[in-house]
Amino acid sequence: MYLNNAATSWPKAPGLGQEVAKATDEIPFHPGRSGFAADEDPVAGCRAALARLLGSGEANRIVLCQHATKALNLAIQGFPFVPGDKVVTTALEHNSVLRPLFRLEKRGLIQLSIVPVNAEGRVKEDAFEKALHERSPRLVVVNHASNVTGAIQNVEALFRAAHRLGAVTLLDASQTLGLVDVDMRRMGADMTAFTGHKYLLGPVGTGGLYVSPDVELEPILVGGTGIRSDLRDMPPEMPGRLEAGTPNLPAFAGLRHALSWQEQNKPDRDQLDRLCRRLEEGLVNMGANVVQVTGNKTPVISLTLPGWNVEEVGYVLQKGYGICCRTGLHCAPLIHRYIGTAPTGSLRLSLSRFTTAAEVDHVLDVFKEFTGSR
Amino acid sequence: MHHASRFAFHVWQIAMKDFESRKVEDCFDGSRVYEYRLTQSTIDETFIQSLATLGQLEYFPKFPRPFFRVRSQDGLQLKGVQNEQTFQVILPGKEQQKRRKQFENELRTILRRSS
Repeated sequence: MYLNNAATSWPKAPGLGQEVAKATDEIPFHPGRSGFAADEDPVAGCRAALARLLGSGEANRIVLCQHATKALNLAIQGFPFVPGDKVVTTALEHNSVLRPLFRLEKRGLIQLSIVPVNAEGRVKEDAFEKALHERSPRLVVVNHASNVTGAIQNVEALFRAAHRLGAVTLLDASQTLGLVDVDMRRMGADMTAFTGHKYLLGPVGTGGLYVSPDVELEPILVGGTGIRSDLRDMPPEMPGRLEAGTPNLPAFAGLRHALSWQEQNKPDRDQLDRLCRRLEEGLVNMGANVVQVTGNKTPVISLTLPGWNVEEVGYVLQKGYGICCRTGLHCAPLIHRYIGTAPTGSLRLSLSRFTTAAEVDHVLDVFKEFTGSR
Repeated sequence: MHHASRFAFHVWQIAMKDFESRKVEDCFDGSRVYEYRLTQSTIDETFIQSLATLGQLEYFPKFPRPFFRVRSQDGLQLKGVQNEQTFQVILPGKEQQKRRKQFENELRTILRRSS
């Protein structure tokens, strides 16, 4: 049984494997470098579908790359900072945001403020506003939903406050795109980073970054683009300016397929929420310390079990019962001190649209056996 | 068995390792976590019970695949499931390589006794 969808989803969109295999076996298509029609181009197909999904009419502002980590590095390390610039972010961020920011801070380029979160993993809005007013940041980075607790942030309010002070806003939608509505315009995101292999149900090795026309990033990787090859520097045209190198075409063919499948098959979030709450309640009734999240959340549950360290529980679930889950800090090291799971982290169970009620009941039976074993 | 064959078998037995180990990455300091694989045997109840010499042993035989864990006073932790060939060891924070050698000597003794 697979309950590690916050790491990567499984199963993928039906038919994905065949699509990737087909793109591998057929004559390679090379976007920007050959004369195929646009509707045959998997990369252009991804961009168009993503523009619809993100509520943006500007497909050429969507930079495709290998993963959200690359997209976030591009947005942060490619941002035109000048020494002394301030950045505000939150304690719920993933290391793919924190490490690039820590690196720039270590180099003396930026001054970083990290806003605390509450016990559910939600940004404290008053603390956020205070940080904005104290720091007047050039860039604000917020995770749409915590990959540890599932808490969805009130991004609209946070980014509205950031815009009032003239900051550029960067949204990390790794945990939400494909599951939760990510309307960038409504939310006020100037940049949005995402991955293809989580709730978009696409293959690993796919991700991207939307960059507003008002933001100009410097490439962090330079090389061949297939256009303006006579130039010594990267061409100014987007998205090629930020897309050096040959893309993973079979993977993007898979992502295009997943995006198309998603458009026809929207996830039933109410049903998913009901399953998630049922699992949470069952675990709480058995004495598990579940990080309780009220309101809007993704189907992620973090917990600890009295008398057990989380690594042991994960080991038994995987080796003893064949339940795939995740333990530890989940690459989000700062959130744990606020949600009561420091220093060792939590056991994380993350559901998908394909998780069934029978699977949830089976997990509860397993935990019953587990908690009754001592 | 012919005398020469018996001698050859004995030499082979000495040459064979009782276990292998490799580092396992985890969220924290991955250098502390090792996976051990028994090359000559699988983990049975006798082996599990003999691990009590290392520290506090807890054995959960009612799980579909019985689980065990050991915690020594100096912080060494060991966990695994029965009928597997592998188990995990987390070394204490200090003097890891010295403690690792000591653990491997203890493991050899345990394997000798439980075989």
